Amino acid sequence: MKVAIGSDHAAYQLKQVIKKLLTDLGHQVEDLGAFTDSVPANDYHLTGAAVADQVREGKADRGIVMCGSGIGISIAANKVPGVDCALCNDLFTARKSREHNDARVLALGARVVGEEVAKEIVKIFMQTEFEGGRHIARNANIRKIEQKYSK
Amino acid sequence: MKIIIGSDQNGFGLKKVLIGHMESKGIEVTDMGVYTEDPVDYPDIAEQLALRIASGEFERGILICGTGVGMAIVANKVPGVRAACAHDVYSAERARKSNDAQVLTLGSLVVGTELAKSLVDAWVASEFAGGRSAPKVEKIKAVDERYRK
Repeated sequence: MKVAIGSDHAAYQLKQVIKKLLTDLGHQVEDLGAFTDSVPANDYHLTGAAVADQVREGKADRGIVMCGSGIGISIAANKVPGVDCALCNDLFTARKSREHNDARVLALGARVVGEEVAKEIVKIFMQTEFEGGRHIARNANIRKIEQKYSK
Repeated sequence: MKIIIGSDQNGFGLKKVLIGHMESKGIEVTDMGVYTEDPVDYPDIAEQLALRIASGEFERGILICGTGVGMAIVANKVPGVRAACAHDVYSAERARKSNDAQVLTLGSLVVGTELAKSLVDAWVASEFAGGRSAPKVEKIKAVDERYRK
């Protein structure tokens, strides 16, 4: 799969680890920054939206975004119409975010989970398919809500 | 502080526990449902609550579903609303201090009742710190503006 990935400075190191994991699993990764861990990146919300835009436009199948807690960047990604971002710092949530929510963007908190847990979360997120069924109508409601507020 | 709380059927039991917990601490809580364990579509609850935050009727809101994921996705779709799914105390604090999140979402199938109480306590007690976080929250608002009608 094509995966767009983005982070702030706090999650830069974790992003490097996740990029390697994804590449080893055979995925094609595009890194939208940050490209250093030394300068506090004030623009990371825009990076989160840029990752979501890649998914929205079909240039990426999945997106992964990270910051200290995962909160700020997940909020920004969810503001992009047509894209649902799930902040998952545990394996159960990662699985359900795909099975039930059909989330195409995963958010992680680099200061919340360690590298190995983060890798397991990413593996589950990449492997798990949407269940469909009763969740299709619920997810369609999200699109309707979005259309009310977005251009 | 005026807090509004809502859940789907999965979060119904935890919602009752958290309402009791907050009321015991003197917090005024408005329960917008659900009032039974009959299945509902969580996007309806999340949108209704988020609109009441966006309008300024309530300062803070709490949304509960199975994982907290769906509620956070939908609440964040409403312009002006920042919703944080937080299952550890560090994140619950940062949701307020760094992200000025007016909405906390919780997964009743992810956290137990005592941890959920601690998460709510940390989130209620924390305020937006401003400072270097202020321009970042402005960037979220810019993303919101870009797609908003």
